[in-house]
Amino acid sequence: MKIENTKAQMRKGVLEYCILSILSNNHAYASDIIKKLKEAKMIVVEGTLYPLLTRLKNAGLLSYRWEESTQGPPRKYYAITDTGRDFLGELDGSWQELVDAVTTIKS
Amino acid sequence: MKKTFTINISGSIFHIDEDAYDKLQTYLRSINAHYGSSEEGREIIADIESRISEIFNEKLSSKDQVVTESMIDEVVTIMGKPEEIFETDSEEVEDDFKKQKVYKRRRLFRDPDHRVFGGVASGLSAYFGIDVVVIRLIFVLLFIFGYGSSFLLYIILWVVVPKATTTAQKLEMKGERVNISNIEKSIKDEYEEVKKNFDNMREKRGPQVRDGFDKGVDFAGSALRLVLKVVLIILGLGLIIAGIVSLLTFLGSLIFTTSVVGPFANMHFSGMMMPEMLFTGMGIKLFSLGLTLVIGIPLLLLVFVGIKLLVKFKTNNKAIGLTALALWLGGIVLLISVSLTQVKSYIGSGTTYANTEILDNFDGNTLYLRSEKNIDFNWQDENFDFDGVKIIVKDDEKLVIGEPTLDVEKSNSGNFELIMKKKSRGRNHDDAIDNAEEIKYTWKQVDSLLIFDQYFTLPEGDKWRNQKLMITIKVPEGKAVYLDKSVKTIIHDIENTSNTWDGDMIGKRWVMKKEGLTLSRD
Repeated sequence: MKIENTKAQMRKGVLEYCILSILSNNHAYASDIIKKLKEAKMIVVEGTLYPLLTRLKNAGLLSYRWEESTQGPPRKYYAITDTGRDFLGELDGSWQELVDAVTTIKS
Repeated sequence: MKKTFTINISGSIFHIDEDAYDKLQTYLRSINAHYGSSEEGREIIADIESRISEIFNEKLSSKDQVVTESMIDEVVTIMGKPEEIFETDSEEVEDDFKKQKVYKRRRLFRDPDHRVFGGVASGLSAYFGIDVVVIRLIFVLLFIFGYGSSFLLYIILWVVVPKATTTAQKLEMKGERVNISNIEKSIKDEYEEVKKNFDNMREKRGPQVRDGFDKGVDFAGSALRLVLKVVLIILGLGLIIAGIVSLLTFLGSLIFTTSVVGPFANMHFSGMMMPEMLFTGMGIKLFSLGLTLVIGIPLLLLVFVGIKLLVKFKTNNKAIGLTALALWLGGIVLLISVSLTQVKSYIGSGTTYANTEILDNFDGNTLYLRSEKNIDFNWQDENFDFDGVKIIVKDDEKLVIGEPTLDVEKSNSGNFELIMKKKSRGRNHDDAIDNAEEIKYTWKQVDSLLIFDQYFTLPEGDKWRNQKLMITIKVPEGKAVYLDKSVKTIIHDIENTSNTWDGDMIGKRWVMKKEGLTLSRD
């Protein structure tokens, strides 16, 4: 069992939760989301985010509109949908359960 | 000097040199290949390309600058190598999950989360969808009323059924239901299919001969599958029951000399006494171990195959097969080597001759030969017979006894005589003689009546060394012997003028004439 695999598996599950959390406060460009995730060391490379965003959008959890950019082509501006908020609420709950579980086990 | 190309990424125009172009193309191609041509895939690729174009824009100070190879490297570092991108790709997880749902049939695992001993009962409960309490109850009842058969079954399952350790295995453990109604349903499905095929076949008969033929093959195929399924279930159950019962019987007879197992309680497996009778010291234990392996391993495999026919679970068949084969061969080797080391106990042979005894004079011409039971033993009693010498169990004690052989010959001395010959084998001649002298045997004469013990005995602890006791009665010419019915078991090949078989000689008077023993007409 490789540690890298385990880490990736853990991150995979939490990543969607993080994206929804970032967007729960304000709308953002993909690059803003990436910046926050990179600061939090949630992702290492940007490429991983695009497939996720597209899938969350297709699942109806996110929506986007095009925004003109001063430099280069128009960019996608993401926002969370109502469904996304419900989803996030549930994730908040299960995240707390997980944290509690881990804390209990480790203490 | 380098060649440059002009490319359009996400609506922006860039100049790019040849090496960089090749690199970027390879990069985008591998991403393309992964996400494919679905709408979602195209959108993802467009997003990635648009980000790449953004990065180029940031890096290039003027529109005329050329995108170089090192810039592509930077892009790859920021965006990640294709495998890095795919690694955290959530859809693959979903795909795996879907596949599991579709393809994973329920398999038997041991359930470590709800176990009491090995998790066998909880695993079976998950597999058959029966409450674990019911399964445990069956095990306990079978243990009490089934002569411990469930214990054996439990151990076998514990050994061969894998433990569910990973999440995937735990999912499989509770996969698509496999219970009685499920089996019933699958049989019913098969039956429906058979029926449908049959109906189709009848409809399509006539013009479409070829089609009809195909349907016929189809019909035959599904009918065969149905029959096969039922046969497999019956066969599996049969193998398990047969295997467990034989194992218990065998083990029982090995431990208690008689089997205590229900339907076989009165059967004799006295062959298990053989090692004790033949071998000394460690030989007994090693021989029993060898015997256990040689007989037990195939029986265990029988049970294993039976279980596999009934229940689906993953096993390392190769490992189990090889282990079984190795143990079985080990058993064979053990049996052979124990036998070989013990053979030296039989090399020597020896015979002792007791003096010829001249019988007391008595009135009359006829000597009456009778045999009396000196040991209360019936052939139905538990015994193990090895070439005339038997080991019997009497009041929980083992006795080694043997039947003497009685012959009648002509006496040359004019007297009735009795000659007793004892024979045995041993490590060498002297040992053999010693063994022969251990043979205890008594007879007595009361006037004209000669009474023989029915059996000779050996002291406790003596082993089978092919002991033999031969008694010869010498009858002078003109005198006679009467063979009482009781000597039937010990008379042996008595020569007579009418070539009468031993069994027909008893209850009659035989006169020794010049030409030999002749039936008396009186």
